[in-house]
Amino acid sequence: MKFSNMLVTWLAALVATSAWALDILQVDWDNKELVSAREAKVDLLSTGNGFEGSGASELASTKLPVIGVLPSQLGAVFAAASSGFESAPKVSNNFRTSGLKLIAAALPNKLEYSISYQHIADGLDAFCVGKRTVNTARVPLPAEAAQMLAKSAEVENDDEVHAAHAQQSRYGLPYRCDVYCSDAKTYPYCKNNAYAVRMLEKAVLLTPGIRD
Amino acid sequence: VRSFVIIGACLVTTLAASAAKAQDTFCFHSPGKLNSRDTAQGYTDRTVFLPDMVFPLRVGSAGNNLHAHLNSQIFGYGGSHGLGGDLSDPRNFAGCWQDTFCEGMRNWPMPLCPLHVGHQGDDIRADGPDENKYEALAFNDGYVRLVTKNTTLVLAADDGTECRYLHMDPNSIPADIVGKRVKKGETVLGRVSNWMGGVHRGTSTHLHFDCSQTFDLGSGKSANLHIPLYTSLILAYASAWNYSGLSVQSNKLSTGSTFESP
Repeated sequence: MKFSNMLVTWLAALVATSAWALDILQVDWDNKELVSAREAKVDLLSTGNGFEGSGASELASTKLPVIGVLPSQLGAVFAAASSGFESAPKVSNNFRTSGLKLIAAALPNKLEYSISYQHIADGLDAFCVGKRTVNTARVPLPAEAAQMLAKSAEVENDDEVHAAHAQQSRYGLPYRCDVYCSDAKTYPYCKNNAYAVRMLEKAVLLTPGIRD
Repeated sequence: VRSFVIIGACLVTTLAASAAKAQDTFCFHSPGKLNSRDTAQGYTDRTVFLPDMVFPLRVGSAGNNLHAHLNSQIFGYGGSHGLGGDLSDPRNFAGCWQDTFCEGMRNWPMPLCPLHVGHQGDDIRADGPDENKYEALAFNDGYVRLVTKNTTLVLAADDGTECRYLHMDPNSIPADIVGKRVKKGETVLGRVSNWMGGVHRGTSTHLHFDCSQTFDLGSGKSANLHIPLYTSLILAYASAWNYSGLSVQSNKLSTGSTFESP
């Protein structure tokens, strides 16, 4: 097959896949908390709350509610060594809650954003993501694989990557927090996803977003 | 003028010869066929999950005529379960590509792999064994979410796919790249190296590249799943070299290519 023919085939495949690759999830704009936050013009993305970088204005214009952990709460998240956190080290590590490089970014279509928590401690980073689009399976997943999917999404612990993930639905959309442990000292924070769950629990509505 | 014409003609001839030579030597084992020493089982489906990606390393006729090699770091020459020798053995930088998506000796839960554990992505050796020389490129338009001490770089593409680049030299990653927009095939994310666990030479010199997409599980639940990349990488590499002879039908890499070795 000529390269031009291959290209045509490829483009056709791309168009076909793009057509069914995305499900657009909708924000539950009538949610009471969201309504009152919109009326109160809640905006916690200011530098006064510890957010640095240039992403705050970008996030304020997203088409979905932005939730995240306030920098001042990060210590509370990672210092928790109570029930359910047995695998974590009992360290009062130097969790940085100031001077932390928090970076916010959003896609051009404003349907996804993430807030990066860089260098919470040495070898400990995280980010939280909100998105309105979800890819759907292009091939049917075997039933057994589907059952494993939730489990596989919780932790990754092997030589190359130690990470923990937690996800929940907020205002009708999936929100996810990922914790990355990249040093032997911090691996226990990714042994289970308790700390990632804790991030979700501590996440608050930072700005209600713009209804389109 | 005549000199310029002659030089131009030589250049074109050299480039064409280089591409032809590369086409002659490129081959890949079928999707899911693991290294012969690996007792695990691979994922043989040929679905092209990322048809619009570019190869995550600078390669091809527009990429300084650089090559890349997908194969096992563990079972290759100099690997921990390999045939002996050295990691820089030239045989690691030759031969037909091999899929490592479901490679054995890995403990990550992998729903699509027959043994339900695997590697998550594919390992890519660059043109040669040199560290901190070969550039990793953005596979698609998007932005960088995170760079860890372990030099794991997370790129979120505009189509919702999230890919990770591992083991690059920390000093090769632009310091202010987190949160920045990246351009498909243009933005340099770093250079291939040998960093793991925050330690230099904690692994071998290669790029671990894995990608995930969020799948709808129904009832308001969704989860991330690592998607098989082997066929997408083959097509992206072929595109970089302008190879002819590969095709996609019904979103799957067609069989019967002269490049494919059983």
